[in-house]
Amino acid sequence: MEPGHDITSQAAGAESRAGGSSRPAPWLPWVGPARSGDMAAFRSLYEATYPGLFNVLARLADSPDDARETAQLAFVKAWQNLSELRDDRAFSGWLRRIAVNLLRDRWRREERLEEFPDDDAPGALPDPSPDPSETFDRIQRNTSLEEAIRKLPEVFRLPIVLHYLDDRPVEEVAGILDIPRGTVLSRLARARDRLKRHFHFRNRSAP
Amino acid sequence: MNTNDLEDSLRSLPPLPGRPDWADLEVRLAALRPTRQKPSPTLLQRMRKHPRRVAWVSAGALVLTLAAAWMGMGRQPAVDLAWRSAHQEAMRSDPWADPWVSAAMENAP
Repeated sequence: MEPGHDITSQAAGAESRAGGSSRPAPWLPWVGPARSGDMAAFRSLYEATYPGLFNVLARLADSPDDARETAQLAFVKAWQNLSELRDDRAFSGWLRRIAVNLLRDRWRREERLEEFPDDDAPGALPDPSPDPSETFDRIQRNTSLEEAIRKLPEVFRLPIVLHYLDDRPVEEVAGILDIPRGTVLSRLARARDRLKRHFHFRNRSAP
Repeated sequence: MNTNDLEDSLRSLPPLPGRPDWADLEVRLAALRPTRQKPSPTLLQRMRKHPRRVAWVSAGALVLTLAAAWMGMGRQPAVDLAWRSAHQEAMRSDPWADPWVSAAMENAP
């Protein structure tokens, strides 16, 4: 999907429904001038919103360099398509959608993204336990929550990162990922379950 | 670990710091802008740029024009020459055919 499409109304609606408009948005005054082509305003917008976007991408991309590159590409696309953004308050969610779409495009090319995972089929999800070939030492090393998140498949990692780490309401996550609200809730539940099982497994495995 | 603990732990994870790199982004944005080709300079602009050359070319053109005019002044047009030679030929063959002579003869007392 082309970045910038449909996100405006969805993200704005989600923010207003979920109280997202109360979220501090010091970057808001720069969106309008940036849309008009004011490069200085876009720079201010970039510097104000970059840390939040990087925080999300650093958890989703393969490496910090990959996250930095994706963030820069997202801002380039944002600059190109800013005229399509009708609600200034939706900029933050719109930017995340652009970045997530960039990542998803790459994952699809690498055939890493499962488009329609059957969340309800019990045997459809990958085994949450570490690969049998992994040694006990490796299991011990992967103890942190960060690592557990990183081990999640992309379809589960996306809503977890956006909802819990980026503090986006479920409705806005649904808008960013372009999936129904129920699917977001389902994937969040599945992801939590996998994380809990990961730690349960870790605790049982620990000497 | 129960669900609440997990959610609290997820929410309390510290943000991963990232530093914006405006210089890099600015270069990327500059590359997006269509490179406008400069329009070729007009004749007037080119003349302003090379005044000495313009002076030499103008002087040469003036000299050529004057020379052509000078040479043209001493030469009679071909049509005039053709009429004149035809008239002289007619006078030689029949002097009375000259309209001036005929008119003079008719008006003579």
